[in-house]
Amino acid sequence: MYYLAIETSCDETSIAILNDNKIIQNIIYSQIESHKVYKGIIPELASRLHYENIDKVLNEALIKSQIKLENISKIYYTEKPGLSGSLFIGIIFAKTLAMLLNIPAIGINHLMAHLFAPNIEHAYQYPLLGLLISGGHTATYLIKSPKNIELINETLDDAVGECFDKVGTLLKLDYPAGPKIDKLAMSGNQNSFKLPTPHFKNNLNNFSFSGIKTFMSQYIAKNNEQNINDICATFQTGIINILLNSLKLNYHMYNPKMIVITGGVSSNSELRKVAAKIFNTKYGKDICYFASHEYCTDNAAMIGHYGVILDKFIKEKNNVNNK
Amino acid sequence: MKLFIDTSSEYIILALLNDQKIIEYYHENCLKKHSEVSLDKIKEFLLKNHIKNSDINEIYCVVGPGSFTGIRVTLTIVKAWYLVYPISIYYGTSFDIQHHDIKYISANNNEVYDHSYNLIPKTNIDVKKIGYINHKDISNNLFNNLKKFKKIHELKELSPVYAKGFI
Repeated sequence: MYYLAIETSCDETSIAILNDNKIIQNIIYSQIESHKVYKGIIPELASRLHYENIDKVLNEALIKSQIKLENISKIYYTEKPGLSGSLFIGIIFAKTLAMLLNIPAIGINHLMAHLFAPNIEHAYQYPLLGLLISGGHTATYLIKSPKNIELINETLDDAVGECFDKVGTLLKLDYPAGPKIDKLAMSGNQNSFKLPTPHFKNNLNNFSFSGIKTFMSQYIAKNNEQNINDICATFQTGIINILLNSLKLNYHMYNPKMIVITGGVSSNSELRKVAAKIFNTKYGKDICYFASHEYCTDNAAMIGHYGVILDKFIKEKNNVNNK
Repeated sequence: MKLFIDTSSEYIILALLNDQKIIEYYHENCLKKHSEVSLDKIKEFLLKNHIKNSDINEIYCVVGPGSFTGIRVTLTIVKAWYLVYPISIYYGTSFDIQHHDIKYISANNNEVYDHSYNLIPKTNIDVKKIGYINHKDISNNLFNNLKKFKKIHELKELSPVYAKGFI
């Protein structure tokens, strides 16, 4: 059975083709170059580019996989959350194709799909902890099954990726700043200043990045002569500590069989290194997994993958109930 | 069978035509919810008229000026349609389907587009000359007005009229 997956929630137009749960093609047209000059995503521009590119992306996916539209038996599309002007292009495109091909079109939650992106290459053992870190989201989930996913904690204000971008803007780095900060930090001093850690009255284990953004804005204004690599390294280390300290607390609280870190920010090389050191070396077993870089940022393969495993899970559960 | 689709204003306008005349004309104020309702309205419209998707061999669509979202809703449907059924697609502007007296198309609450797609404050113009007011007139003249529409040869020709920048 061939499935089509469509993702247009933000600034990537992506279409994947799957054969059951095997990803055959995962075409991603990134709009980053167009948004870069504005130092962030312009929603109207994103919608225009999704419209302009969606048929090209589909054609490329079909040609490369040598599959015809008539061979597709189901379409999975990103339903929410995302920019409304971006989402509706994918939704209408998917629903129209499904109507004309007389096949089902299934709406998929983008965040849940991110949480299952590492599962493309690493089979999940439930329950597991999922830390989702991107430009729009920062949250931890307890994943008990493809359908039973519980939010544990989340950011009270900005997302971690947004914080990286803000610091990038302050340091006059190109958007998106995450990969540049990651690269500059490699040769910087990780202890060149003290990054404040947010404290919460009621729930010790939430996230907050707005105060860090303000601190960085003031710090960079006062210390504009300081080595940029040192600023990047110290900032990045502080952020990684915040994320992983929270994950450590949750690990001890929920005792999961696995930990997955996913979303665009999970591409960060230092985060991958430190997380592996903490969870896989210190705790003496391989429990912490990441998705490949291709599946970290927004992509249709994860939408299709989550759709297929969710359908399979629901079908199996219904079969058990019927027996 | 020819299908006409226009969601460039607050209305969804659908029509079925054969080579001689308009068979069915439908319009409804969707209160700017085109992205949520348009495809279902098209489905219902075809079903009500006992028309199968494969019966449609020509689609006529409006590329603006008007609501950017509304325009993209129609054009996204048409793009997908063309990929499944590579039929003849024709496009025209919001002015093409109006009475020749119509001089403006509503851009937002306060402004209109003129024929050159300039933005003009609504306070300076005769509101009777704004399009999409008289649907009887639009439906009566649609058959002839569609002759102004141009045929596309490839999908990239199906471009919305963006009379304003994106910021």
